[in-house]
Amino acid sequence: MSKLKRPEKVTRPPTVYALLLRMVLLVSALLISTIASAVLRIEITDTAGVQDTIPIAIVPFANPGGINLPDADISAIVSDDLTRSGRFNVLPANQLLSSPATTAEVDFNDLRVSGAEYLAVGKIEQIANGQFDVQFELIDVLKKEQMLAYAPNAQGVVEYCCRYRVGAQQLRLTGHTIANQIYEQVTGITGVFNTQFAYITAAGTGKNKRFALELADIDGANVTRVLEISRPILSPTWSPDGEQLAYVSFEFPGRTAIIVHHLARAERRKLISIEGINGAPAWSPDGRRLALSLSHRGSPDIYIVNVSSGQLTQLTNEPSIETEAAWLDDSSIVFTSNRSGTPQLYVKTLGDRSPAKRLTFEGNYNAGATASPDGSTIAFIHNEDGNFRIAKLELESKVLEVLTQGSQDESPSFSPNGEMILFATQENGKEVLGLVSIDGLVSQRISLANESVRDPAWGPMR
Amino acid sequence: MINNKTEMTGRASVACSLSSALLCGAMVVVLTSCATGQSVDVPPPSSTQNPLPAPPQPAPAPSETAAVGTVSPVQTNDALAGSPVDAPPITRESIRDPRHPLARRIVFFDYNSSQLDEESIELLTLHAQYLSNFRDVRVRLEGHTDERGSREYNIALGDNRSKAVARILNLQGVDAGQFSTLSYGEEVPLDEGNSESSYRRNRRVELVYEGLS
Repeated sequence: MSKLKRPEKVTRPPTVYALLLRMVLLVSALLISTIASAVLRIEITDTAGVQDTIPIAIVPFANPGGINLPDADISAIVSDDLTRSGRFNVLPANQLLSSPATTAEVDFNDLRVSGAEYLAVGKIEQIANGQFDVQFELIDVLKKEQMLAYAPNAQGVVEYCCRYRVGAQQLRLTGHTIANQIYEQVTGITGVFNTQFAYITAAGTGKNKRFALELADIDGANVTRVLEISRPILSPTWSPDGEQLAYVSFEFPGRTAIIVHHLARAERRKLISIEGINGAPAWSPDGRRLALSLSHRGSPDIYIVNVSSGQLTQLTNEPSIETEAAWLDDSSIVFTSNRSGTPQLYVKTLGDRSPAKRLTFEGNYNAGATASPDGSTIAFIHNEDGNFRIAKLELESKVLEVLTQGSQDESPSFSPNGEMILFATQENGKEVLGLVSIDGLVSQRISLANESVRDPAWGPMR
Repeated sequence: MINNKTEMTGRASVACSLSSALLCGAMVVVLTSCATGQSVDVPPPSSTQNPLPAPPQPAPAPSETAAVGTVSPVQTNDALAGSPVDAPPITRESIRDPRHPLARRIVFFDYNSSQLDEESIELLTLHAQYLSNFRDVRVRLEGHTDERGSREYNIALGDNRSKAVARILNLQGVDAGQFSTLSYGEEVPLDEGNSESSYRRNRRVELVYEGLS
């Protein structure tokens, strides 16, 4: 593996407060920014619990120029996104009696038969070399009203939107953007179909084991391998602007490191690598700090490091394990501690010297928390009768609810709209990812054919 | 190992008188050894220092302690044949001898526990003796957990386990500069299975001698 600069040896434990960390700019020799051949397979395993899926028809977009590109089938991308959300019942295209491309062409009598409450129509045209014009309209079938369209309609109340001039590379993203618009207009919830997630893969055994950090669109497309090494990588965490990832790497002999990796610039920087563990990085909502766990003074404790200056502040100081910080907002974190004898979750306000407040009391194992984007809810690993499952706890009501049915579920990560949780699970002894809606009603599996997939982190809005 | 018993006890008591009372206090089993020596009167752990972590669970039952040295990537079948009745002499090359008791380089732990059982401490005492004899030898204490539960919590748990081993070596007079710790958590299992017997083999600390492998 190692064309990387070896870490400088830290011979004595650093002073705890105001420690200036060595920041080594790492040569990005390991960076392989290519599209990996692997394709993530996403399966909708269960939406049975959803009572009121919204019936919507997506008319195959008109394609007068006969553009033949894989991503030019915008309506298919939109249909797949809405279906995968579990909130929509996308009616089969062949049930439609006509193929309108605009609201004006819609025959509402035909639509009544189909049962659709909403209808999306659109078209794609090539306007110049490699430039495409994509338009769509959304129609409320019951009210016979246009909801979204490029030009204001007769009622004059429609938003100005719904027309995109893009290159071939952006067609797929345009499909996701349209799905976002429809999702938000109908449900009132921000769509996240254009987001990405990071995850770790493992393949091979023994000395031939390979670990990789990869990115993929949330629909499983555009798999990009960011880093591949022969030693473990874990705990990727996104900067709030989506430009950087921090993660734990075992690439240096004898010591772990927390690496800050700028994706577009392909720059890797060793943020910290000292004696003991260098673990559990969690980017603060303001993007300026990372919470992390260090054990150079004894047992693992939580520290806050300023990402640009490297200044380190100790947050907990207990003889027990304190780790896995997750930010609720810029001034408070949830973390795991076994100070009671079993791992449980606690909340602490930064700068507040009073003891951390315990949050979980049910069961003998509650760990690995992550916070919803609004900080109102946490998701974590909860041991229920020997099964490790993803549970959520609303901080206001203190109600704990188990969301998954696996036995080894871990690494929960909220979608940026707070509606879904991505997590690691096992299926037939193989490591795969799962998606579950926060009401537990919709669940999906994301798997890779020959590799273990684990440690997912859902990226921010983009 | 039987022949070593008195020697070990003697060394432990010396170690207790020399090392901080705090370290002794953290290890109940070692305290027992100390009690047969002269330095029984250790002051209670001071809370002003950075106290060492208390074991998260009560001491394992004696029946669950048999796992020491039953498996290891470096242990040959010969080495697994059973504990030697006579401890052979330790020379510099002993560490390379697959038949020497030093070929056993793994100690095992109970679920969610960093507590070492008596047999593990005996094995570590032997390694401590080797390390004390050869001060230029360095060893890395690699902590591991089974795959259940949270990855990062398991990193912390593996850290606790490797530090528990470090404490024993330290108590037995090994220089702090001779060992380092590294926790892999659940990332590098010895046994890829997911039965309790696999989990049991994976909850371990491996002594990785520099320049060997």
